[in-house]
Amino acid sequence: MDIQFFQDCARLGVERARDTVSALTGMECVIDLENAYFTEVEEIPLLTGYPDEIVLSSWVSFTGQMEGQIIILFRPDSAESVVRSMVPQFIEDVESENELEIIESIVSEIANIIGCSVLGAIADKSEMVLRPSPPLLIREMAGAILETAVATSYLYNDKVFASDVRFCFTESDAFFEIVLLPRKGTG
Amino acid sequence: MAKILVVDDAMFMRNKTSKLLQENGYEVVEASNGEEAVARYMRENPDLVLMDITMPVLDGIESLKQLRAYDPEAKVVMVTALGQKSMVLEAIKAGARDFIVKPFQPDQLLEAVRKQCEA
Amino acid sequence: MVSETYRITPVKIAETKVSRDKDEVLVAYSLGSCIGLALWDCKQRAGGLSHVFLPQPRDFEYIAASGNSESGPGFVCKTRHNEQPGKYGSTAVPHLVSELIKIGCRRHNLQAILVGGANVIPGLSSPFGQIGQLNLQAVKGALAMEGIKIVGEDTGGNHGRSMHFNLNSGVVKVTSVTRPEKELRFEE
Repeated sequence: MDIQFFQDCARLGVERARDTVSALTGMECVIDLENAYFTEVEEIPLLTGYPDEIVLSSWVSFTGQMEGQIIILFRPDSAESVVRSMVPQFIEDVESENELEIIESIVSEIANIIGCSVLGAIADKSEMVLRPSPPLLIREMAGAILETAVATSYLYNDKVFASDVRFCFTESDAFFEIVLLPRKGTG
Repeated sequence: MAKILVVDDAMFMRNKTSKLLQENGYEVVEASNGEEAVARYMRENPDLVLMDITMPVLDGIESLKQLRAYDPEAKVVMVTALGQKSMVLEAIKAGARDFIVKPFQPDQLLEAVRKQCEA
Repeated sequence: MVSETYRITPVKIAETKVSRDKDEVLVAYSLGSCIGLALWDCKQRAGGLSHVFLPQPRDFEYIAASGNSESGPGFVCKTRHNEQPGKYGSTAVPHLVSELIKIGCRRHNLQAILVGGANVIPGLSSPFGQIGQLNLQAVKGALAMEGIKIVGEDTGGNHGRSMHFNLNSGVVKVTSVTRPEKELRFEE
């Protein structure tokens, strides 16, 4: 598995993610910025630009012939915006005291759908079997999440492949980012 | 009135699906992972199970296998974001009656439920 | 802390910065499993910060910063040639000590404060264990080899932290998303 293979997988995954989010939200989702890196492991946490920025992030790991992590980053106000567009009726019905819990649950599910659609696109094209973990939702500084993810998985690797794609909407200010960290798998 | 067990680790998905089913005349019970699903199935004896796949503790495929071992007549429809061909095959082989990929339209789900409950 | 009279100097992952500038605040942002290693000489009011990412290099052999000489480094840094010594806990410590000696600090006056070493992704583990804990062990082990006392720490747990190290006052402010701000002080 070389860098070109990972880049091709990333491309397939993000295009499917874009289409899935458009279908989910009813708003046109577009790819705003797309970068692929093969860089020193210590550069990865700086990818998103502002490492101390607080994000609502979904973390998924996957295993199979390819393995790795998919980290989806929402800025908190963007998360709420995406959620409200998806289920405006639902949000109006809920009690305000557990609104945060409900928003987080919805974000978790959106992230699950996005992550699975990324892997699905790659799996369908490559015939690999890729198994994701249930998503873990983390509200934390972006850099802290990325550095923990990368340090744990790439302890003695010099360089790491990462795909970092930013998505936005034509009808809203909301945006989110997907960081894909694939590597050759063991099974 | 058919009883349906809705299994999903996301509270939002359970709420949304339950609401849809109840509005269409079904009785609903819920579980948040595959292990809970098996326990609830044994206690509640539902007519149909809607099962997510990626869940903590016990995933949907393993839960399906346990349910079918306990009750070979158990009707389980997978409702999941994980739509890889290999996953569909694995689920069908393990005894799932149908496979719905999220995001789905409400009518899609209702049609699949109707089909299984009338059979 | 962050006022117009202070200059903020960020210390990115794997970097090491030392200073005698009383208007300078060394900052390590978003420490997850990383360790912010702060050393301070209260007599000189000078200090430094390393942003440690991993415990030790793959081919590692610890050789302390020269045990007897105050004048220069005697250590061998076994990172690969293009890697910064601040990247690894085991190499960051002797490197930071040696850089501080270069700007006039005395080894026996140095104290340490450590921040970070958390696991913000519960459920993520490596075959080697939790990286945050491994980083902490490596840094503490290296500090013990150098004979440097740890006078404060805010480490472990599941939350990320940022640290602001004021070289003049000897105060380290620790902030995080979910916890109240915390202050750690070097001893005078």
